[in-house]
Amino acid sequence: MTLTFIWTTVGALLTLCVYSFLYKDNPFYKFAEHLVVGVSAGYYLVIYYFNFIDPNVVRPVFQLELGGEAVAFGGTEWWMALIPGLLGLLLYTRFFPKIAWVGRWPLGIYVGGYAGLGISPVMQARVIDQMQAASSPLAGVPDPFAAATNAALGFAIFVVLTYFLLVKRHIVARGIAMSIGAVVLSAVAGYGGYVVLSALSAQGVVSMTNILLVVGLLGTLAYFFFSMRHAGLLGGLARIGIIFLMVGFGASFGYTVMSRISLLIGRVSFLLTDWLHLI
Amino acid sequence: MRRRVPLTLCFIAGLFMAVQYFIPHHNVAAAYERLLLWLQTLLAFAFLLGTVSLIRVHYHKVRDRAPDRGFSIVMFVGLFLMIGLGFFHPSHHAPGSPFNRMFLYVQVPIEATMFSLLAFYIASAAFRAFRARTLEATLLLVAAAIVMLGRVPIGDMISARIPEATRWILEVPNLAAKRGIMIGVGLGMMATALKIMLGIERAWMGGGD
Repeated sequence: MTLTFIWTTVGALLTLCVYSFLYKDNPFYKFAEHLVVGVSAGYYLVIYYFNFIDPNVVRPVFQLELGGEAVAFGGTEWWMALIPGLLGLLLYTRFFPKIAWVGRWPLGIYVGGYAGLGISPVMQARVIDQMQAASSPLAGVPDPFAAATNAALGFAIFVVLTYFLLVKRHIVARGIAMSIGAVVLSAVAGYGGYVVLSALSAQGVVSMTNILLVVGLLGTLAYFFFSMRHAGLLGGLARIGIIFLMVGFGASFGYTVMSRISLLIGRVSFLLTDWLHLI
Repeated sequence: MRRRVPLTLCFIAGLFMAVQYFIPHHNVAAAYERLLLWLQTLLAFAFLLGTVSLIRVHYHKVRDRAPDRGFSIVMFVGLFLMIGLGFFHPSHHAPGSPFNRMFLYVQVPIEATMFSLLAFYIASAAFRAFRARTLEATLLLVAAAIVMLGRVPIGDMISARIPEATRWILEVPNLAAKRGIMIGVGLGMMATALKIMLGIERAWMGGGD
């Protein structure tokens, strides 16, 4: 029995302990849960110590060495290494109620430093870059999604017109023949829209995909704009925004489900291939 | 003193980190590197603080003879085993070392399995959420179904249009919605950062004087 097999068996048994939760909460699951809390806390403690505290504080202050070079005791580098160490130790004053307030000093530097550090990158990546990407030409550019966009818009025309005729114009109350006629008329209008949009796309006149991206973005922003009542133009835009948001949430949900299924396949593969060698 | 000093330190650190991007001078760059190193070191000390709190919580459970104190002992065994292997075993980070194997064969399997458990619970959540009662719910249902089908071989076997539709959903309506959310989140993050720097948002200081 090799050492690797013993470790694989440990991993497999812990995997089964976690899956036992599917039956109900039980001691095996709790064992694995508490073990992983301890192991991961210990793991990150060691990693953080050897990556940050040891090279930046302990070695320059006590062993007078920084990145392979000597550090003069009491020199600038020595003090620059001592300060974060002292600030770090101040965090532990929270265990002494009388001086707990001193622990806010390093916390202030930490919170303020990272708050300031984030402003420019966030502005660049999340706002400016996104607005720049949304500002693409609405015409005269190749549209790789033209067929799908035009089909989706044609279908949307069919659905909206059917709803308008049957519900808003009360045609459904006038009998089955009139209703079928309204549906057929909507289908013809939808297909006509699809044909016209396809012809325009083929000529490179408009890029319906880019128009859809802009309308979707404006709609989403309008939906999250709560400073005005959602009525009139803003209400209409917000309504379009909900449609885009729901499709987006559905896509995210589907994507998340598939990623979890992929993890499940990975674990089952670990049990059957790496541990039992059945596959 | 108790509130003004941390607020002042917060403002100075935040202001320096925010404006250093716009001052291309080697002294400013050196100060930025130094402060960033301090922040990372503080993070490590804060993590250590979290571990101390974890030990205190479980120590109290064991001391007070709580019903599930046995699991607290399991936590202690895992924690001190990793600390022992990490600090006292030579070359703890080398592949094949006990520390590395504990990570690969204990931490990774448990964490991956816990995440994969969600595959089961997300299915039951979907059953409750995906009742096509409204137009919005129907759109959510249809988009999720197409994306799920489009990401597996069976989708392509049913129709080549399904992976194509998946790509369209992800790169057109989904992108438009995500872009709107991202802009909103970005503006919110900047506003929160400014509120923290200016001392309007003080939750990080906790209660008391």
